[in-house]
Amino acid sequence: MAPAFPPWSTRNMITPSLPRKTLAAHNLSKSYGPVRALADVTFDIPSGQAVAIMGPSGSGKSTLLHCLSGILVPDAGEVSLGGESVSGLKDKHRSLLRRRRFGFVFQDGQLLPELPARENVALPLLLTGIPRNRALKTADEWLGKLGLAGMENRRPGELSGGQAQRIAIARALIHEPEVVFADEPTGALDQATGHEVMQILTATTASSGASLVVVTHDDEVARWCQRLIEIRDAMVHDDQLISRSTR
Amino acid sequence: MSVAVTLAPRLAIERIRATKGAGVLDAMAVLAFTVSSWLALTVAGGTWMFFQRWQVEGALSSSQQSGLAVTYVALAGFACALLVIPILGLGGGAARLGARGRVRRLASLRLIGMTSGEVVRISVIETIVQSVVGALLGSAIFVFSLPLWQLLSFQMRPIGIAELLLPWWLWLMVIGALVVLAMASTVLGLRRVTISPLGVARDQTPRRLKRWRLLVVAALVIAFLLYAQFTDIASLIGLVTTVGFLAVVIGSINLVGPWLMQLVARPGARTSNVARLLAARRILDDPRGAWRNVASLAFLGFIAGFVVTMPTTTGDSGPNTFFVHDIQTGVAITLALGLVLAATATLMTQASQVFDRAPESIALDRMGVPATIHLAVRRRLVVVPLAVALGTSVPLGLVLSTVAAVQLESFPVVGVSLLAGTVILGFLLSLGAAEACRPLQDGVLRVQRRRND
Ligand SMILES: Nc1ncnc2c1ncn2[C@@H]1O[C@H](COP(=O)(O)OP(=O)(O)O)[C@@H](O)[C@H]1O
Ligand SMILES: [Mg+2]
Repeated sequence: MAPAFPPWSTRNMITPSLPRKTLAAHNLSKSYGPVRALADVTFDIPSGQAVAIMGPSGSGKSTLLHCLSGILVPDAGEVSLGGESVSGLKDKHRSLLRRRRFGFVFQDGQLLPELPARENVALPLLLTGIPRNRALKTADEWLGKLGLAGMENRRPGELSGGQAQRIAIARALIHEPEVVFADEPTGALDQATGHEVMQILTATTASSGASLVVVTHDDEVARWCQRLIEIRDAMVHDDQLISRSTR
Repeated sequence: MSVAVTLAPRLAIERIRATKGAGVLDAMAVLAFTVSSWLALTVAGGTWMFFQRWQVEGALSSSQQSGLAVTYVALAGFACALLVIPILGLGGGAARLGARGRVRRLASLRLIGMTSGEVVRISVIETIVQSVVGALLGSAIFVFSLPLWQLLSFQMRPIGIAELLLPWWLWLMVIGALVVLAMASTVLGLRRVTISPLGVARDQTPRRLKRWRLLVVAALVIAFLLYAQFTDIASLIGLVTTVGFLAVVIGSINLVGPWLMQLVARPGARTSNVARLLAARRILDDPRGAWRNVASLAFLGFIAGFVVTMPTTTGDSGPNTFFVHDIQTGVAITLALGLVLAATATLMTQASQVFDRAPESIALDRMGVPATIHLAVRRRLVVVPLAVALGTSVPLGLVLSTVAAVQLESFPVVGVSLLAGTVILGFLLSLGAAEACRPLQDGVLRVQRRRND
């Protein structure tokens, strides 16, 4: 099933036939002083797959996500995207990689408070040098797609928690990333809003063709993913595909 | 109180060990206390000098000269008045900064069972320690900088070191005022920190400031120009009303300042350049705050622009010649001190912004935004308000004085270049302060924060 990019997609313009890429973790280990946060973790995420990462607090989920996305460098092991090393890159190049090819949604505190919604969303495009008018037009389209039409000029403080997370989702997707990373994106929301946000996150990520790695505490959230990886004590405890019937 | 007193030294030692962000904030607080007490002592010393010269001279010489000596005291007092607000602002800001640096540690003290009253008392004690250390350092710098003042002369007499030295009771009063203010600011600062951290954006979209502000000021300026044309400054009433009117015009700068900030920042909000966009949005978020940081500089700039064109070589000899020269020197000194104050305030504001905005900058870093963007934003946040304040006030002062008060015989090249040089140095100092926040920013980004996992 070929992913359908929206007509304004920058990917259509820049890289019409980008080969889809696998994100691979190979024997990852990471410690903070005496604390072992990751111990020999290995798995692949094929392109387009939505993976939920679950596990008790302190088990190493965030550390894993940060290593996968090139925010942290593992002490041992390697992360690669389409066969190219991520963890081996220099700081600057990992930054560039995150900016260009990854999208991020965090729990909170990530939207810039002085910027109206549309500028928050347009930020990744502006950072790659796309002119303001085009960036804002694309941002408005994304806001419309996420049910936020009419809120383009509101600032984060004037939005509800769920709306703010949808802004963050739009921002994570606007530059057509290959992988979207989300660390407890619904952690600060009530359950109903959380589920709504999770549904939107998985649906929009899927329709843009990106892979999704989402850390969550919520059992039900995993329903919208294709695969569930459970982390316990810094290791992969369980890794299973979620069959369609249960989704 | 006794718990607090016994705990405070131990806490101080603990803080010296924990040289993370909070330690840097404490150091900056001490630095700000140092600068504010140094400048407060300097200004007070200058006023004291004129006061003494008046006391001595007044007894010896004619009533006319005694009158002039009083004028010096009054003008020095005026300079004090212009600087006292930024000096107190710096002291208060230092106290709040220190308080913010320790707010998290204080929160954990509350968790282990201390009452909030005890926590506030501990914090006040720490502030006293910081401000007293700053006051001693400031006094030392004051004393060591005294010989430099000998290079300048007032009333055709070089400044003597002994003249600037304050008697102990005056020294104690100046320092005491700063320490008391710091204590008050700490209590307030802690309260505000617990409710909402200072310096963080407001939730609401800021409302635009209206254009009537500009119209009011323009009307006042025009009215002043007309009035000055038809008034005889030589008469006492003429002089008093002109000066009074001028004071109103100066005060009205405060009305137009925030509007100007907004005007200058607005194009930045329509740019594709992210650093420029962020800086512009932050200024637009709080144009009044941006103005407040430079308001006293605007007054000083206005006055400096106003007096720089005064002719020092008028036909009549005698006191008038050195009087104008002395006014120009005094204004230049006041402006220079104001610029030092502004740079120190910049350092404090920007440093605490680094910590206030840590979650935001960490999120940007994770998204892959280069860390250099923060420095670029900070540079703009420093330069733009300064440029607005001085870029409008100095020319305004120049224009008003040339049109209204003084008949220019020749353009005062030396005076204007000195003024320009002072202003440029002030800019560089403030830019340096922005640059000095860089290691703090890097430190904030390096620490992988652990948040609610
Ligand atoms: N910056 C850090 N410094 C020290 N220890 C850390 C740091 N970040 C995480 N840890 C520790 O590493 C372990 C895994 O943390 P984390 O990956 O955040 O877990 P999770 O996201 O699953 O709650 C925990 O024991 C945590 O205390
Ligand atoms: Mg976590």
